[in-house]
Amino acid sequence: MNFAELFSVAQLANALALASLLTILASGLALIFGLRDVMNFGHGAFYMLGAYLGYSVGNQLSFWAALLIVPLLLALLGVGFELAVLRPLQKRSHMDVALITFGIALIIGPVVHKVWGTAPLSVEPPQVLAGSVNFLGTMYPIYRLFLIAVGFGTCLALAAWLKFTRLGMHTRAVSQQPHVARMMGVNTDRLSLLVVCMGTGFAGLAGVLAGPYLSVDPGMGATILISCLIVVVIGGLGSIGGAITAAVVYGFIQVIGTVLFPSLAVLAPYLLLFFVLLWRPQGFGRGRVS
Amino acid sequence: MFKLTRRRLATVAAAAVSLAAAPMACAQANAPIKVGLLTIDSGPFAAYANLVDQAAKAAATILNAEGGANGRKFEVVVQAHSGTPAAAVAAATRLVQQGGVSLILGQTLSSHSLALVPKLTDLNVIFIDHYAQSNELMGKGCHPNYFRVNTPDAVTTRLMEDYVKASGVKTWNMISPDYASGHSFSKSFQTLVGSLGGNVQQNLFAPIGTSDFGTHISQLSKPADAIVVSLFMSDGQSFAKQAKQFGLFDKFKVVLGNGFATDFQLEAHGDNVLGVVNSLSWTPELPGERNAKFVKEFEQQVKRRPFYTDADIMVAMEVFRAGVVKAGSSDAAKVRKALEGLKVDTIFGPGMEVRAADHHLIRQHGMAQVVKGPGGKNIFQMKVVKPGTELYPAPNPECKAQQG
Repeated sequence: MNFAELFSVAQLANALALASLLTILASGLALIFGLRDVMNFGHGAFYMLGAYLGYSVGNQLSFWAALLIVPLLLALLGVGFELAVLRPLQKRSHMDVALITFGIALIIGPVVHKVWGTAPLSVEPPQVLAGSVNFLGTMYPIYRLFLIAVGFGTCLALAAWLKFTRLGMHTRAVSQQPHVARMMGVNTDRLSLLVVCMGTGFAGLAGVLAGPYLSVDPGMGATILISCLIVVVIGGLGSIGGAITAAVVYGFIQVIGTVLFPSLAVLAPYLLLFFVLLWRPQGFGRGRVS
Repeated sequence: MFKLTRRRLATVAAAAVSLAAAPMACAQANAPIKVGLLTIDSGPFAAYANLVDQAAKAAATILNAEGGANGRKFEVVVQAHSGTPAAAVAAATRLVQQGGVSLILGQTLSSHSLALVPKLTDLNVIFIDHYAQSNELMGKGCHPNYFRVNTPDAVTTRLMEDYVKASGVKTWNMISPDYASGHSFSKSFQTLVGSLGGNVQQNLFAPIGTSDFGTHISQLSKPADAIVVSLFMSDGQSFAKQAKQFGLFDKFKVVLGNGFATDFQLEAHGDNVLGVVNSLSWTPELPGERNAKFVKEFEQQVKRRPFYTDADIMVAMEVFRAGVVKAGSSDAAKVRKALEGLKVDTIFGPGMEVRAADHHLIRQHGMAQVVKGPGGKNIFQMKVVKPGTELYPAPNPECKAQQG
């Protein structure tokens, strides 16, 4: 076992890069759960769609344009998701709605295969983010540093929005006491529409960012959804702060597993889930959309 | 006056039955030979399932145009599964029991083949592997109904031996997939390097479907003279892209690939694998009239250049056809017997031997480097092609492929 390897700058940065992608995705998932009380199993498919759209927009225009346009397109999709699925079904059981979101993922998958094919697509980072740079004495890919900055920057912005804006306050209020918030004059339908759009937009943003980091392939949505669900559950269902903490812990556990126990690395996230739920069943967070 | 006796009635009935049965027997003799094709519909191998599907159907069409086998045409029956060994066994069972196939081909990873082999007696079917590379299938994993036409890991490492020797490289880092074939290749390569007085310093395994290789790449960046990458399909593609971002390959004098920089992924890899020397067992440019004919007909049908994987499928079907023709039947026991030691004319060349002792086709293998072509596109430049007689190890005494 090589413990020194764990504390190298490169491995710490690797853990943060994975965590930053997961925080963006998990924040979107936690937002929707917090407000709509729905575990959106279609989130991985939205992320995959974002990555494929990012590939196409990036080829036609540029990576930077994709970073702007694709989250907006996914947010538009969120409007449809809210109005056609979540709102009409808000009185149905959790299981019904969860199954429908799962069905949406099953529909998006084949549509993506049909449009973009099944072979993995390669997305290169823009020229300015290509290659490596000396980072604390270690040559490290610039794109990964960019991903860490954007990932955590986005989550900090979201946290600030929740804490310091009126809409953020309403979001926190609705997610904790929806009836009281409604009685106090909060338009929960309008707020819900905004939050679902933000959630799907975050999935789109994560998809575009994932293109040059990982690869764009048909299995990417399913793979990340499992990690994302683990992060959201460990973080405490619906908690943004908890999701960020859980994503960082998840990233480090993955790196520790790969370096120290390579043959058990795939089990590491599940072991983490198991032990956290035993120790703290409510997760790391302090409550919904906290 | 005609008197209907019991004897006459029996004679008439027998004649009627014979008349009715004759076309049936005739139809059976001309019935198509069904070829079961296993494909994977999830995970990193799913992306290339359509290549296998196209290749098997094109091979069947080409062989059918040549008259099929004893006047019987080949018909491909496709069965997709999720990619686990258990799913592969279930899919193969379905192909035999419901599809009535006489031959199994397809995307069989080493772990799939090792799981399928013990079932072949009960299934009473011939399995010609063109996919799995594990050495175990030449030893304990042998089976009378199992044949293989692609190159096993032992052959690839034997091929690499001269290259490794010539490079003068002593220290290696390597990464392989964390399943049967990866471990088999890693073991063979370590033995090879050890026999040349070198050593493998970092020997990593990555689970199938790994998307972020950052942790592995950071470990592989430790000083060594050379690196060998044995990651396949979309895993290989992700690794190549991330390795380029880390500048990994620039740190080594030699970058060797096994199933990594493949011809069917070359375009998708872009410049990420430029300079990589990879094993490549076949190219359309290999000499031979039959090879040229295959390339032409394949391109006409599929509208793309054939890859080495397409050639391996074609050869699997050529070998099976030769067995059926010699046996005069598609019955597994008869075909198996007919194939042992048979010399088959294939696109790889005339008189290719199916070695009786372990049921392996003794075929060529080569190494090629990814270079910039004249049009700026990346192409393979063949470095070496060797005949199978120089590469295949002697049959493993543990292999019990031959019956009695």
